[in-house]
Amino acid sequence: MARWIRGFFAVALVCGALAGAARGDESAPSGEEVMRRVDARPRGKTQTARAVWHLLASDGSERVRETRNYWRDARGTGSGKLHSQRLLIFEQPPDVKDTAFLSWSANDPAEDDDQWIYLPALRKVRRIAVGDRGSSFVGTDFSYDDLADRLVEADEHRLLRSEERDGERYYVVESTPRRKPAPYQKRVVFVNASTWTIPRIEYFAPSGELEKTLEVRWREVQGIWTWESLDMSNARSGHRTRVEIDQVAYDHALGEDLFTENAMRAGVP
Amino acid sequence: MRSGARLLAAASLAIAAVSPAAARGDDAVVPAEPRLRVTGYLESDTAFRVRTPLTFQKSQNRLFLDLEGRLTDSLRVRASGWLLYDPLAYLVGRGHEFPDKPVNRWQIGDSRHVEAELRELTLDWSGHVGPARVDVRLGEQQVVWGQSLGLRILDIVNAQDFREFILDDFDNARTPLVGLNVESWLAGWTLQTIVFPTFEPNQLPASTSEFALNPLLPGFLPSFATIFAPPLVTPPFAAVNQQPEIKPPSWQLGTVAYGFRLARTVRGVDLGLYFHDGYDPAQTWDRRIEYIPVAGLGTVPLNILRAEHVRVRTLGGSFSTATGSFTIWGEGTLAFGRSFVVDDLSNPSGFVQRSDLHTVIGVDWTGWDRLFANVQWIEAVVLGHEKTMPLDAWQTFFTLLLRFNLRNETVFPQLFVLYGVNEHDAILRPAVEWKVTDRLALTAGLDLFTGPSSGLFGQYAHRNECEVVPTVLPVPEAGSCVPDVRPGRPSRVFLRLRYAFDFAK
Repeated sequence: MARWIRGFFAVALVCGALAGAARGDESAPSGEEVMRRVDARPRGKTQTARAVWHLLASDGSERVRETRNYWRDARGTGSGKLHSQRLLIFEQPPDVKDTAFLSWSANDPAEDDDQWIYLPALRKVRRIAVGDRGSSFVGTDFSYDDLADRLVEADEHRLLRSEERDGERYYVVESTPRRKPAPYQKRVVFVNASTWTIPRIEYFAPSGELEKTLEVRWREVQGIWTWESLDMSNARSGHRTRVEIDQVAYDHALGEDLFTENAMRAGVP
Repeated sequence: MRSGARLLAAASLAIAAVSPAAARGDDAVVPAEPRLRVTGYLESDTAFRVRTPLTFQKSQNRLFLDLEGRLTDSLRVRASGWLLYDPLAYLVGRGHEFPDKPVNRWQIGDSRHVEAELRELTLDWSGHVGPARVDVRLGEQQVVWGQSLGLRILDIVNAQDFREFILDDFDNARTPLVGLNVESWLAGWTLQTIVFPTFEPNQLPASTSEFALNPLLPGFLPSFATIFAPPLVTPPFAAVNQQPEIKPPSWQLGTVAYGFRLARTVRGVDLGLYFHDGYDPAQTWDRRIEYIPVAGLGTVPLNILRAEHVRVRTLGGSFSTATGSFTIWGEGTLAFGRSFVVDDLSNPSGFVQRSDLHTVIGVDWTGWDRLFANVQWIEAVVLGHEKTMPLDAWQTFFTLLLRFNLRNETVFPQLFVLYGVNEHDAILRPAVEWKVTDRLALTAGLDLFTGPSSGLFGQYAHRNECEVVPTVLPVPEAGSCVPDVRPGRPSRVFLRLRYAFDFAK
């Protein structure tokens, strides 16, 4: 009898645990579902902004860059092979003025993105190698890869946990690149469950060590959740890069012709 | 230049009149560029020879200004130029002067130490014509094609200043031209059209200057020291009369140079096709032989030597693609009608015209975050080569560039090597750049020449004990030689300090 009772309780506990797990699955979406919700968040068809980049060394010294940023949702336009296009033109400091960075993100995660840089000192546009994308973008703590739009399909996503902070619920998702080699072994992404914005990303190097941490502050512009500051800190070097944007505008008429070598050379009228 | 400025002013009025209708209007993109922007730098560039005689080679102080004004959302005017001050004469007391009065430069206040030069003066219009984006640049400008490093392969539009051989930055060494440059983009295709009614030749170093070219080297001057033809007296009694260069006149229909570039990205490969038709800025050395009576010597051959320019048509192509940590790219030109010196007295002009092919294959490697590495393989081939051509039918060069970035991209040690396979000569250029602040940069380095004197680079590694040079003719005594008046061996160490500034409104 006692054995039967113990058996009953054991089964009950297991069933209860399974039921609880089942209830958990129903209430918490999968990692991929979370990232799809993030991806589906309204972003406008285009975005323009001015960005100020503060490069903060561990010794307290600071360097400042200023860019004009142009972004365009390219899905459903042109050849249909592009996800988005981005153009950054440097205004400051004077020694990098007119340097331009152009990125075409592919719609297919199996396809490589296209990236170019215009170097005004040489007056030449140079294509950037795929393997270069993990390297620093003009001395900042952002890599070329960080600046490209990342497709949901490019990673495997696993929900690690959900947690409450300051009255807000967050999902914590681990995203591991499907294609190797990749600049990172994985990224741990914190997602606000109500706004589907990302306030924090932890980047792990191929060795598994925490490499960088990104903190993001958000605000609504024209009804669209928009990051207003990025703070990327490098765990190894102690170097930080803080980016602030202003003059944000959405859905301006930015044609495909703005995201070209011509525009890199001639500038944006 | 002055006529170019007038043309620019007239065009400014014309384009301003039509631009409101064609410009973006309500679609003007924000954030826009500032209305007025002034950028520039102050630079001190000092070089000291590392071979005897150990002297300062240059001490150039440059104020560069670049003004850009946005007249409307689609119309901009841009002007850039520099003021150059070289107090070398005061430093070494050997009466150094700028060797020639170069194109587009003005001596300031009768001083031989201060020069001004206008580098660019353009009116730029960007807008749409129908569905096409169009960028128009009118005025004095540089047009840069291709992306090879250290040697210009597709970069054929502007002439080059060789007075510092090929050590000066190409951006400083290109001679700007007045003309029209139209780039249009439609459905992934880029079409660039250029028209230049003006002509500027390459600037060669003076025969007594630091980087004087060895006239006996193939490809530069005819090998006139070996002239022999009856009834001549045995050389070196042959004389040379070097006449002024004949340049095609600017602003005449027959001088107009034009060209096209068609480009597109296909499946991750950037492709380009090029065409250019214009006078070659490189000098063609036309050599005529006349016989003159000289008292006591009889009849002596007189070589009349004159630099001219021939019209050359050039087809070009380029590609660039990236895979893994590598960017692979290449470019090439096939030029028709280029002139080549022949060592053949039966040839009345001393040169022949042939086609030549120049190609470069380059690989960039960025597999390590702190290093940019580049290797180039360059081939120059003369098609229809003749034995009488002193220039090799095939010339091969390799280049290597290693550029490191340290301390969060503030310190950049680098090494550039340009190696000529045919003569086994080279230029080695190690340097370190330190960006002290965002505005202040300090660069120190070496420019070293090595190899046999018969090489393009090796000529600067030697100083011949005696040599016949064109400026010392007729040669005073038979069987003798004269000292090489070229300073020679200009390998140097240099220190460059640059402070950048800007103002925007």
